[in-house]
Amino acid sequence: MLRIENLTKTYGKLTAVDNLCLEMGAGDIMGFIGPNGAGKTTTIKMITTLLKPTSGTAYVNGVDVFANPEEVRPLIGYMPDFFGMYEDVMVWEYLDFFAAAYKIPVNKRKGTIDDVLELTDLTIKRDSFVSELSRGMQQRLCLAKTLIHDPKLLLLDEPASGLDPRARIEIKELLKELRSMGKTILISSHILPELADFCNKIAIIERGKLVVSGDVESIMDQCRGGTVLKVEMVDRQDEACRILDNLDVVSEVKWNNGCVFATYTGTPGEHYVVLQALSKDGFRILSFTQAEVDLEDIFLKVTTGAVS
Amino acid sequence: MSIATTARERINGTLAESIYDNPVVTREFRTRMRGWKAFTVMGSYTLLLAAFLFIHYLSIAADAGHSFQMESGSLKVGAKMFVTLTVAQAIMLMFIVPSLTSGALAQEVEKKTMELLVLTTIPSGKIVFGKQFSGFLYAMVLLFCSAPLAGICLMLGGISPGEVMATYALIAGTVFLFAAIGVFWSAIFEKTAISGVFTYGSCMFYMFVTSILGESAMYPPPRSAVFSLSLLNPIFAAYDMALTMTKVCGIEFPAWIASVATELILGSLLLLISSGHVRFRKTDKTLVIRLMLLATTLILVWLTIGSFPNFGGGRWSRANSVWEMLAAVSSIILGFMCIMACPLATGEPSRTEKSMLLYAMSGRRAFSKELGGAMSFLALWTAVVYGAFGGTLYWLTKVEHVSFDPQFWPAYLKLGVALVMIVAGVSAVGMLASSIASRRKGAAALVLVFLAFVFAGYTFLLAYHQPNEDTSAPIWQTAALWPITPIMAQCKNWDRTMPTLWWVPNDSWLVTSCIYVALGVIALSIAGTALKKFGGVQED
Repeated sequence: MLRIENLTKTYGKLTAVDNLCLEMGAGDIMGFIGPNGAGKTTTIKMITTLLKPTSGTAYVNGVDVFANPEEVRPLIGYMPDFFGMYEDVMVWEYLDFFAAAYKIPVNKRKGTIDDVLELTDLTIKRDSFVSELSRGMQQRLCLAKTLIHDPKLLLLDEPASGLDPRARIEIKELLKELRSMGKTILISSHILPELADFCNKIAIIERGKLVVSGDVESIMDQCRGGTVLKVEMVDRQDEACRILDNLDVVSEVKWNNGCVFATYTGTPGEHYVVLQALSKDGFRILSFTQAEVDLEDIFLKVTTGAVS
Repeated sequence: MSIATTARERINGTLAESIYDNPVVTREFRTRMRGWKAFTVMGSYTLLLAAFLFIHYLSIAADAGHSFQMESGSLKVGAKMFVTLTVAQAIMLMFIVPSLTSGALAQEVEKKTMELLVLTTIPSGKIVFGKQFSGFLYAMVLLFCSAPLAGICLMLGGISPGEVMATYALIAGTVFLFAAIGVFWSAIFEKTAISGVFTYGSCMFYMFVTSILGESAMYPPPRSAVFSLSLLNPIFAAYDMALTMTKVCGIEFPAWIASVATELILGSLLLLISSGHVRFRKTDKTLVIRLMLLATTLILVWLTIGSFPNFGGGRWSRANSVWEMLAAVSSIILGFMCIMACPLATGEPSRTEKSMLLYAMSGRRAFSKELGGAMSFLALWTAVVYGAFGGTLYWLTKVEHVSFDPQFWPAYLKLGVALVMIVAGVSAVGMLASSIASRRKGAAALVLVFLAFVFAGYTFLLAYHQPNEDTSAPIWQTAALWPITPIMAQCKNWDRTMPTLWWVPNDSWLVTSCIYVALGVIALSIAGTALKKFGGVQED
């Protein structure tokens, strides 16, 4: 769906994006992570035809972005990190403007607008002025605008930045719905937990260079050297740590907040041996789960912090 | 279906679509007409006009005294009041129209809505046209509001419906151009404040220049036709000129048509150029733009010089002297071309070419976006415009039987060579500036500084020159650097105003040409090194 080849953008002596190569298949949700100023927005802007690259190219659905920008624009939906709104129009008028701008036939516009309003849960605000919407609602309206022409590839630049927790959760739910609709999404963020339960792929960029990219699981395993198991216990955590440390299949053990974290390096799918080892000694175990993907750890591990 | 029919349908479809199904027009108009603001403006506009008319009416009545009622028909009260209406309307629109469009695109950038707009599939031309057209349409609504007042003038007598229609068409033409000027500057500058200043400046400059042209026709001795561009300023239409005819190279037509057409062409050209600034584009429209530029200039030259016999008598009688005419036209061409060198001869220079000199000499790039074609295009443009000027004059000698001094044509040719060389030299300076500055605007500013230097130096020395003294000081020998020198020499103005030179003033066309060729060669020779050192213009 998206293929980026040796994409480079320089501003004078500053190289914002350096020889970036990336690939996304249809239906992929890729987290595009990097510290502020790493080149995420520049890369996305180049894919959206807003910026001309210094060299290299990108293909969306097989179409060369820079040779045929006109053909690429209908295929992508872009939501910038900072965007303005035409505030003196009503919500439906705002969407009608973009529907017309994307050449949706007049007789289909009303239906399409109703659909995206329903999807973004804004139907009740149909006749309100855009200026009357809260920031979270404006963010959803922008997403509705992004979806109006049914794009194949969604490029979302920090979609939840500046939102309160409730609005953040709403946007997250919305994105999950889009995922279930089979959209291909590239979502950039510097806030890692935001992407954790959402993406199947990640790409980490720093100082314009791609540091690592691939499946979330494999990258995590690569960096950690195994799967992290989380054991929630009532007490005797330190004792449990000693026992687990002696196991061959566990490489690293630590505990905090009543939970023991053990890095399992044995055969995949056989980590029940860890539980067996603990249950023998009568530990009072509350839960035994695979620890959630902690992108923060990966991020800190692979980036050097050069930008920040 | 023939190709012509298909093409016509295509054009019709596009134009109609640009107006009826243009989301930009819909949104802009929706916003503009919503709430109390639009109607307040419309109300105040009509009320103010009515107040002006009422005061004028009272003053006419006071002047006429008791006989007013009896003789109102012969006083042509309607015609007098229509002058007030037109002048007031033109001045008010000159202030209103720029405010409608000068922020059109810059505001989108400032409000961060531009990105979302350019990512849609609306063609750039449609965006630009939509912005201009919505401003134009609103001004038309205002113009329509004043129609009842024009009706009163009609009823009071002294003016015909045809004159009212022609005057309204002229105002509409000017409004179209002003709206396009606003969109143009807002596409060039990303800040509304700057584009606003430039729009108001350009519109006022336009009104000022065209009022000189209008005045040329205002106090005429009896004549069959006026100068064809006299009505570019709609104010003058009201002075009993709305339906006057003009005669260009023996062809006669109403003067208002020439003016409205000129304004429509200029406005469309500005919109075409603006559309190239909306988003980066792969398809190069330079060929179309440059051909249109050439065509527009040719039309303007033809309209201006072709109606030159109409000047006969009145204030412009001096222009009958063909030498004065040559000086005036050459100066206008020279000034215009030099200013045009700022946008056209600056840009991103090629970093792969080995020799900047050969790169700049490339004729095949003349109609492409590349900087290497700037010099050839500007030189070609100057040659064509100057050639058209000569051609029209030659036509006049045949059609209108205007006779010229036999020395005229040799002088014309010599001056032509000098003009082309000066313009080529200035474009080479533009290329050097593009190799030094990192932004295009910076390079254009450098060219402007250079132009200010060469033109102002002349004025500066002239101010200190005493005609009776022997001032063959060495500094005067640099006169060849001043672009106006060959014009002064060829148009026989040297003896009266200028000091002695060690070279014959009559040969100044040759000396100046050589100086500018040398300047161009030097500029282009060091441009390559400058490019490596400073990096040159880099466009996003």
